[in-house]
Amino acid sequence: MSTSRLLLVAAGVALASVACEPASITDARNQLGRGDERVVEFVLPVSLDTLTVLEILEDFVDVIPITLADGVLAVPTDDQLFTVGTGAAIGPISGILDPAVLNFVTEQWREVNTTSLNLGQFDTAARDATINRGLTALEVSNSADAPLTLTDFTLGVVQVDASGQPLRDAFGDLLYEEDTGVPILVPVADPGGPTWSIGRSSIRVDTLDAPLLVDRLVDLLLDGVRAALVGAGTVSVGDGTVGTVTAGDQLLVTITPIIGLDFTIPQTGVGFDSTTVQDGLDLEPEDANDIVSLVDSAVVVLTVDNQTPFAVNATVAVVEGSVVGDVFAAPGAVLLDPVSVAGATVDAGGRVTSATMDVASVTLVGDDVRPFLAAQFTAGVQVQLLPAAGGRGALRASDRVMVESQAHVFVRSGGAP
Amino acid sequence: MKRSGLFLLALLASGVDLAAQAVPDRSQAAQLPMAYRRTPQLRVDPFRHVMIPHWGLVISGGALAGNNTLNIADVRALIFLADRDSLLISDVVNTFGLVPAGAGVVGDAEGEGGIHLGGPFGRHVSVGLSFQGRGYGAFLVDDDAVALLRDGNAADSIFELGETQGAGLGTAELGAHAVIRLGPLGTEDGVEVSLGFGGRYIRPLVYGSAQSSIADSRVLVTGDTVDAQVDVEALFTPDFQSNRGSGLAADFLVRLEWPTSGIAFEALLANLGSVTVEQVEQQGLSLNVVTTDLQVVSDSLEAADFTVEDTVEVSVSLPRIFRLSASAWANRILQLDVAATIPVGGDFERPLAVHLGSTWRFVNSFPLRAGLELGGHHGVGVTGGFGIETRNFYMQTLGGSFGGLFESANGVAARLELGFFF
Repeated sequence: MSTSRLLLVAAGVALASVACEPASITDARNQLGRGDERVVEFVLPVSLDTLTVLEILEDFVDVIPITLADGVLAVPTDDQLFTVGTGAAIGPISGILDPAVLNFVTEQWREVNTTSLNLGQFDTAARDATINRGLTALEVSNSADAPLTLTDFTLGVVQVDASGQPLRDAFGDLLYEEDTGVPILVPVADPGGPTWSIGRSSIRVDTLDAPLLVDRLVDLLLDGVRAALVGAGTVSVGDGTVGTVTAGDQLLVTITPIIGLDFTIPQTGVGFDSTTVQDGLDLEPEDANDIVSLVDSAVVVLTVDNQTPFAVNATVAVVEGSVVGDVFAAPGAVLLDPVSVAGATVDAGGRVTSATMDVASVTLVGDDVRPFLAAQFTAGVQVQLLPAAGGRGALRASDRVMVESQAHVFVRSGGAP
Repeated sequence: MKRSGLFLLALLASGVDLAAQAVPDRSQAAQLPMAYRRTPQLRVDPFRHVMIPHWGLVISGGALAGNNTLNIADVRALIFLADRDSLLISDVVNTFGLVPAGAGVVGDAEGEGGIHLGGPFGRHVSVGLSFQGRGYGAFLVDDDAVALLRDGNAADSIFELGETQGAGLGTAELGAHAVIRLGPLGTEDGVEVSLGFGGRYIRPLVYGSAQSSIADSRVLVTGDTVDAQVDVEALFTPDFQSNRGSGLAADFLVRLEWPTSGIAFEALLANLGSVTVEQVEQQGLSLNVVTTDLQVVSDSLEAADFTVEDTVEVSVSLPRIFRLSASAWANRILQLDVAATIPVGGDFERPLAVHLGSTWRFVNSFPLRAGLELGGHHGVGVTGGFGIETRNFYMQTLGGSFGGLFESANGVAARLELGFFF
């Protein structure tokens, strides 16, 4: 036995021998609580975190965003693969290939599944916002020993019927999705001309601006409407020189719609939900009850340095344990004070020019703290993104949110009967 | 003044009788037996037994402990809850709430027990040998350090360890004391002077102390930052041993007594000395963390632990005792005493305490005692006791309850003496 412990035990025994033992644990607690009743405030730093937009997005989307040339982030959807049988269309041929003769019209479509969007919990926000930056990445592989040229070739979106076929009008033409009465068609063409060429036995990649197409595709899929991506136009083979096309030659086209995180948000905002299960303090029930009775109130003050284009209203509900489903409707859920944070100032392109500082607070009273004392708690967050001035916001990798949180905990002591 | 003092000393040395005003032959005050005029103390008194002018063996023990925060019922409640693994955070918070603002937590304890053998050689000289175990302990938790948990940090954000420290020492002691009695000087009702002196050879058995090892150990807690720079040094002997050093202490006493007038004055200066404790383990604990994240503080506290740094030799000054006493008795029935124990340095120092005591001898051999104790850590306390005082045997029991009665007391004291005279 250590010296210090021996001395403590000796002192305790000496004092204990003089006094009568408390009759119960309650009596013992009341004895220690004999002091004057008072409330003491503790001000404590909880955290100082800087969250980059990339880190935030990782919690909401299912893929790592890519960065566009101007720094704006984008989320690629899954690849859509098309096959155009050039050999089958014009037959095996070898010699001088005249494109004025060797050409054919093709129409290829591929239904896009909702799961290919990869937007995770961000999907409803993407649906309700207007996507200002949409791209389609093209990768075309030509197996023929002859150059190919796409003429008046376009990409479009059509809805698909219950049998999986694209919708057509009475003349059999595809019913492309329209924007203000005009079909949304993205020309596949080199700059300045109506054609797009690929050399013999080669692969070419290209990126096409397609904001309307991507926005409409996303809207349709997130609204539960089946839709297909369509490529249609004329394919010409050869360039007047010697070439060869075998029966098996084909054009493999991979189209990847890319959703740029450059949105125009309605004034009413767009919302999305998030649910996470987190570790609590894992206190025994007796200790948890003690903390609940001890804490008169607690105020968590959040000082947010927002360098994102969006203002945020967040409502949080927490419930003890791991809960599947709507946390806000779960039995025993505690609804915390809503938090509002102003957005940063942005330029005409929706890019942040200067951060905005804002302060918000959440007050916890009584049983409000109980979920955090369990082994696990589930937090449901309803986030409302509100637009910056002009309504447009573009997220860049350099954007970030700095959150300094401090707790003001008011603790009761004394005042026992 | 100087000349008169020298004259008095010359008189004491020569033993020349001086003519003085006579008192009645059968003074009521003089009927109080000489052996029992010097009342027992709850505190350490190295001359307690050698002052009894009979050969005999005395077995005695006593202890005194107190603090300024917790009473006995509080301590018992803490032990009760801890024994049942039921000590909750709110209990700790409530306990800190009991600490008086501005004072911090202070406490001390002393205890002794042993045997004494001695007696007089003639009328003027008594000698005694004693073998005793003694213990001293004291601690202070600076109010600035307590304030963080007691008052929160809304008003103040820096909390320094300040004078926070604690120490304890246990010793085995072999002592020899002598008293020379002179007088009555001048007339038969003149002053009787007792001069006491003695020394003790001390072997330290156990020692421990802890305090900040840097000048400004402190914790800064704001809503933005926790900045803790705390370095604590602990010195302790890991077990009981009798061969880990030694020390010497000296004790002195001057007592002037007018038996026929029933008045006595006394000055005691004791525990002048120090003890060298060898083979003391030196350990250090550092908590140096600057963070904005409370979790980091929690992790740092969990990781902080004492580490052995060295084995050293420590010199400990014994708590010096300076006590001024006065006694008055008109007859053998009632005696009044006042004793002020004044801190004059050394480790384990106790604050000034004044004891006002009375001894009632309605039956000559069965004194009853009651008194008040003022000062210390407790304010006002009560003392009491009873004894059996005969020529061949005596027993003294004393008790004290400080700062309140019984369970409400934040200090207690007790003493038991058994004497067998030949």
